[in-house]
Amino acid sequence: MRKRVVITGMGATCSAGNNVKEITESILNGIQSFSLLERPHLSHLKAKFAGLVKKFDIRNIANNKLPLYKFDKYVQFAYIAAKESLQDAKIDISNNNFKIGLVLGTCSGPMQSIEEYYKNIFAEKILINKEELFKLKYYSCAKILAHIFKIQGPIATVVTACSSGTAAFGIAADLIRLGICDVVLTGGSDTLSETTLIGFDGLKATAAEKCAPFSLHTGLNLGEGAGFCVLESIEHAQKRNAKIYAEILGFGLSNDAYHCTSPDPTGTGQSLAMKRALDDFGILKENITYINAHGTGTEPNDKAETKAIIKIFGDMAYKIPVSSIKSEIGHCLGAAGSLETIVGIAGMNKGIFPPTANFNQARQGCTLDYIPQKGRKMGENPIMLKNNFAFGGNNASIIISKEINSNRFYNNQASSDKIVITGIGLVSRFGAGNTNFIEGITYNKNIFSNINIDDDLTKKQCLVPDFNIKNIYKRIETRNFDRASVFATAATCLSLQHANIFESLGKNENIGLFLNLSNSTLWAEEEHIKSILKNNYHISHLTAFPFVVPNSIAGNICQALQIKGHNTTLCFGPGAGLFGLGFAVFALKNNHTNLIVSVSVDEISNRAIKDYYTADFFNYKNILFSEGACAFTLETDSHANNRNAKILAEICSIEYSTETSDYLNSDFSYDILKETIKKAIDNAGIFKNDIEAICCNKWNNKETKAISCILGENICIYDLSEILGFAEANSPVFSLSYLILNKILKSKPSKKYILSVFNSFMGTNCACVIKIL
Amino acid sequence: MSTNSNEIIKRRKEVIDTFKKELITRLNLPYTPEDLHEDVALLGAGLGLDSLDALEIVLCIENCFGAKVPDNNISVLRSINTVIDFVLEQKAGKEKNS
Repeated sequence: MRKRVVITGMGATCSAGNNVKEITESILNGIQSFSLLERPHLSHLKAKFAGLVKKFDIRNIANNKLPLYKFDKYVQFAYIAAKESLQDAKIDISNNNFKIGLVLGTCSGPMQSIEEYYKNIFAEKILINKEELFKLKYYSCAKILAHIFKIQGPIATVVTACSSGTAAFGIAADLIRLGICDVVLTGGSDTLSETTLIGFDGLKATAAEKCAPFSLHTGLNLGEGAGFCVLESIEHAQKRNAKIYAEILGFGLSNDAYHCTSPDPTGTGQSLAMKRALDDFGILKENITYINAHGTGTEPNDKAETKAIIKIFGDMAYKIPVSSIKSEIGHCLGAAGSLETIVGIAGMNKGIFPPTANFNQARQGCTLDYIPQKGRKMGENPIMLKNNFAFGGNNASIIISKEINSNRFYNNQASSDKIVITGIGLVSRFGAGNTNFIEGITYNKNIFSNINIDDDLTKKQCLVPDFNIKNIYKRIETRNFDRASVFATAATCLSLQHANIFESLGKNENIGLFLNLSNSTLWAEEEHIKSILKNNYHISHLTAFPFVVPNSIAGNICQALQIKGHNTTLCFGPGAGLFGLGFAVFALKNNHTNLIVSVSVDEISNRAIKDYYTADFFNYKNILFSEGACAFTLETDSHANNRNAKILAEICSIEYSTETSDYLNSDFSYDILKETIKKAIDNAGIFKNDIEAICCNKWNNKETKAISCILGENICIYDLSEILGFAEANSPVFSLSYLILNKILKSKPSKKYILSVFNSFMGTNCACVIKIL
Repeated sequence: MSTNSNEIIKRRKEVIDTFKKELITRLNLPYTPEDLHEDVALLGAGLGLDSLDALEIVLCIENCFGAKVPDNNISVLRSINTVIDFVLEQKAGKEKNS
């Protein structure tokens, strides 16, 4: 049985107020909280209004010990909302507990710092140190919050643009349902970035006046803010007598596989997310009493969403009240989903549906009941369906009920299946393909053998040689592909071909995809921001903007391969390939689908590499960076057996921990890492001498010490970074792939287990046990 | 042919060349300028470009030729020739005004 997940605390900040109470009151009254932009350098834009957080001084809010003023506003917003939610839940989570997690959603989170970074480069003021560099990373906010609130379990950042907040709730709930966490702090945060606003304006998506979703005027207003919730298992909440606001009754993800910025006009992908949310716990559509829409106000969104709702609910759709609170606070991007969910829940607790403000007359194609202007009283037992859709085709829906009543659902089984690997796809410095990879490693020398002590390492990176992706899949259209998309798509194709399931692409809409990243799409960031700065805040081309969001890579893969299943993009930082593998396993265990490709990708950016060396970012100077992609096809064993697939390996256990004594550095002590490794071995149900080989970074002393402390000195350690180079996201999974594909372990009759360990510079840990079959 | 019409043809050709080159770089098209026939449809069935590409072309016209395409005038984007007609018309109008 999966555990039931309830919401016991809420916190928020946005243009309508600095706490949940203020915000709810304002929104339920249909007040539009927009202010004039009043920035002279942006006066040429069509967008004149935005939902801006009222001026506040973080120094008055935060504890003096925390240097929060140093960080981007989205980190500050997140802190404020997260703190409110924890206080509201009356819970102390700082008790050395690995079962407390954090899932953050953000769209353009660190964009403020990134804009500042490029301004400095323009002004030739290049002052880069580790901390400044860390601030540019999408994974930094989660680590800062984990440090502040002492969260020691798994932490993840969902970066699926405007659907991030909603997806974060679902992914957080998945952790609790399987018992991996008892409590997860989850939410979304974003701040208004000027280059993002200019991008939306360039796409002609902004409104000149205050927005009016589903009504005559088209276009959106951007907003900013954060919303956080405390999610708990119902047992955990009841045991501590917590006040329960609502229960999460379903969660669904999908990809449109249609376009990088526009939604599929037929609403197909969006309806798939809603359908999956209903099917998750078997909620009947008749039980849905309210839909909190994505409702941005743009012509393509509002029409497609209306169609998608009708697709799912048929004639019932016209009777279900639908509203968009973007009409009150604007489109808060990565925070949208979480703020909208919170206001929806607060509305349910007050018995009022939030209204769509500024709705005067329905737009053509918008035929539902949109709760115009004023909040409406609701009946008994409200159940809300919440939608959010995004660039890159990412769609997310969740279902939330005010009443805690187990009679409403009938499908609460976790999968008892084992999760197995049936395909691997690799793109590395040896080109695309698994044979190239194995041969390359077997016949190539250490990358440092050709390097002299005086050589400039920044100029000696391990790049992927050019290859023609059409040789892997001839029908692929790659006009909008960056290098990362080419690598990741090639690896995904290769892994599906290896798993012998490639033929069902396009026919099977349940194939899922998890993209796991360390970096964002650096080329697009640079191209978009530089061109805007160069042109005096005017946009001169749109080729990069749609790809600034990191999930654009997954969008490209899904579009090229017609993958419409359970899809998300997660940013974990270094080691992302390994960290993400576990989250894909959790999705399979939660029965969201029965086949997921978990792919990680690295693309070398010369600028980033230079900064890494300057700042000694990974605490190791003698390092050569590499790029590439690694994809695993993961299935439940029953699905694999039903289709007679060849099983390569089984994922026996995967454990996470986060070190919290600092946000920027890993602990000096290796106690937490050691405990994580022990847990992985115990939960795999094996003894430590069943382990034949280990993959880790040999140059990370902490990893090797922790490993030898548990397993002794005479254990075979594989670290391919001396041959492949260090690939931020891929290093641990490259080594793992080599051990799975290589025949060395096959000859051993009993010892068939591999342990993979990763400890990042900032103190996020992962340990995974895999059985070779 | 008069020098004047030669001049007009030469000028048109220059604009066409610039536009084609810009189009190929900006939209990452797998073509050379010679491959692109001036009458082929830019959007939909012709070059297979989409709504985002259309916006990119509008930005290209604005940035390269200083001509602003009105929001609702999508017919300008029918083919390379219609774009060039529009650009030259706008230029002539400007010169006349000045």
